[in-house]
Formats: sequence, C-alpha cells, structure tokens
Amino acid sequence: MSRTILIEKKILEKNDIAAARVRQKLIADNTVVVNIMSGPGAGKTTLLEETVRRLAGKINIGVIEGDIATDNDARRVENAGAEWVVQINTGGACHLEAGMIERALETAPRGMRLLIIENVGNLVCPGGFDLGDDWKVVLASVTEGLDKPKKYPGMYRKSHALVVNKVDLAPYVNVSPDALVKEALEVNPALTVFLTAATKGDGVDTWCDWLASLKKRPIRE
Amino acid sequence: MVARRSPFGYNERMHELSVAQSMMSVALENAAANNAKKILRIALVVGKLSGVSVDALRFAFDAVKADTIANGAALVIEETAADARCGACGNGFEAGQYDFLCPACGAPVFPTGGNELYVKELEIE
Repeated sequence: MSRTILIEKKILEKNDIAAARVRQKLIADNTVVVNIMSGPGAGKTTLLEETVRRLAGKINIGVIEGDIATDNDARRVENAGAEWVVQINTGGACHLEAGMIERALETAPRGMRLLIIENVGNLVCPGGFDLGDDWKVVLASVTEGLDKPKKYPGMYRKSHALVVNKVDLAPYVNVSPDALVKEALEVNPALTVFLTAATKGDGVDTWCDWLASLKKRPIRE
Repeated sequence: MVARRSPFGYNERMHELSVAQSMMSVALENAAANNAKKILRIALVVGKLSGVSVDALRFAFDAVKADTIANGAALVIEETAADARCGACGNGFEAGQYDFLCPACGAPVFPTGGNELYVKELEIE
C-alpha cells in the first residue's frame, strides 16, 4: 500500500544552512565577504592581484581561491601581498559551495576586514550557490563579446556589481564597454558598474575604494 | 601562506549532479523518517530560472538512485514559469529565460517566480 507524503523542502537547503554558518562565524569580526564570479579568463585573478596590491597595507584582506585544479591563483595572490590565502581545488566541480568555504575558514585568522572569494570560472553554476557572502560581483571582459549578460542572466541578476574588464582591448575586439554595460543593465538595472583594464591598473583604484567602503549585511532571520 | 586543499570529498562533476545528490538526501531522509521500504515517486518543482537543466537532472538522478530504496522511483518534475509584472506599466507577462524587459513598455522587470527548486512530495511504501 503506497502513501504520499508532502515535503516542500528546498533541495539546496544544506548549502543554505552551511552558508548561514559561514555568516554566523564572520559576523563576529564584521568581515565583509565578496564573491567574485565570471567566465574563465575574464581577469578575476589579475584584478584580485591588483586589488590586493593596493589594499593589503591598508586593510586586512583574506582570499579564497576556487579552481577545479592547481594552486596557481593562490600563489599569484599571495605574491601580491595577501595576508591569508587558501586554495580550494574542487576536483571537477564547476562551482564553490558553502561547505567548502566553511572548511577553508577553519584556518582563517581573526580580524579580517575583507574576505574575497574568487569563484570557479563559470558563468552558470556559481550563481546558484550561496556562499555566505555579503556582495556578489560579476566580472565581464569585453573580449567575451556583448551577448553574455543576456545569455547568462542568472549570474547578472544575482550580482550587486559589475566589473567590465579589459577595456583597453575594446578597439581590437570591436566591443564597446558602454554597450556591454547597457546590455548588463537591461538584465539588472541595480548593478553598480566599474570599468577596468586590470593588467594596466586602469580603473582599479575606483573599484578598490568601493570594496573598502562595503558594509557587512545584517543576518536575515 | 598558501594552504593547498584537495577535493574536500566533493565528488560532483556538474551542478545538476550536485543538485541530484542533495535531492536524493532530502528524499532518503524523509523516507526513513516515515519508515518507507521503497520510494515510488519523487515530485520536484523546478523553476525555469533556477539554473537547473531538467534533462541533466534526470540523467544525474539515474546515477544517484542506484543502490538506494529509490532505485525504482519515478522522477516527476513540475516546471514553474517566470511570472513577471512590470513595475512601470503594470503589464503582467511570462518572462523568457533570457529576456527580462517588459514587452509592453521596455522597462527591466524582475520576475516573481521561476527560481523554485524543491522536493514537493514523495510516494512511498
């Protein structure tokens, strides 16, 4: 005799619970958590190197690097002067999950003002997993073309800010940064926008000022 | 100092597999709590904007159900639409997966539905 039971339970509830534990842990030190997402090769790590170079002497920054394999990115960011860096290798998974952040934080020092998480390079899956972050940032490079915001709207809609990178290459790829920004704002008009050429350092100061000004979000009950 | 971290025991290879594993643990926990011997049917609600591909989820489900009491279970998926109402002109419409502009006035719109991702019910015996 079969019977039906009603559940109504969120499938990613375990991730959400782990994300809540991450928030709980970091609220004690008022650590602002920024989750940076983009496709592969948009320039997340280069932007992060330049960011750490500018901010490391002024505020206490920790970085969590997510990649499928290698610790190249963690070494780059460490060389740029980050106080604390952890590399997570997901071993094939296409995104970071809150449980991974929780475990990475086991070795974290107290008193971080800013924790930047560089997600796995992927424009789809990272947007679906809450990491306990306060702010989500999507990075788009002009070399990816104009159509990405509308092809991958989920990530753009979940983000608070957009960094358009490689603007120095715009003339060579025939993509106008302004047009890319317009496409992105049609998907999410609330995005705070930055234009950068991270390899040259252009626009990075403004981005860093914004990062340094961010406040921790209150924990929702 | 760079701390190297190995795979953390996460063995998913794509995000639908990770979703399928989470779904299966929700189903198995609830089945066990209800003293089920078998799971006959798992009913899910998957929103069109949830970022989950239904085809990939079905494929992953077949992989994760083996050797569990859900081995013979049917997976029933109800897809929910991205209902939207334009804040500028009041027009109600269903947003496309890739298009969030009001068809009447062109203003950007945030859909109120379509992000659902949950286990709705189980049929057990």
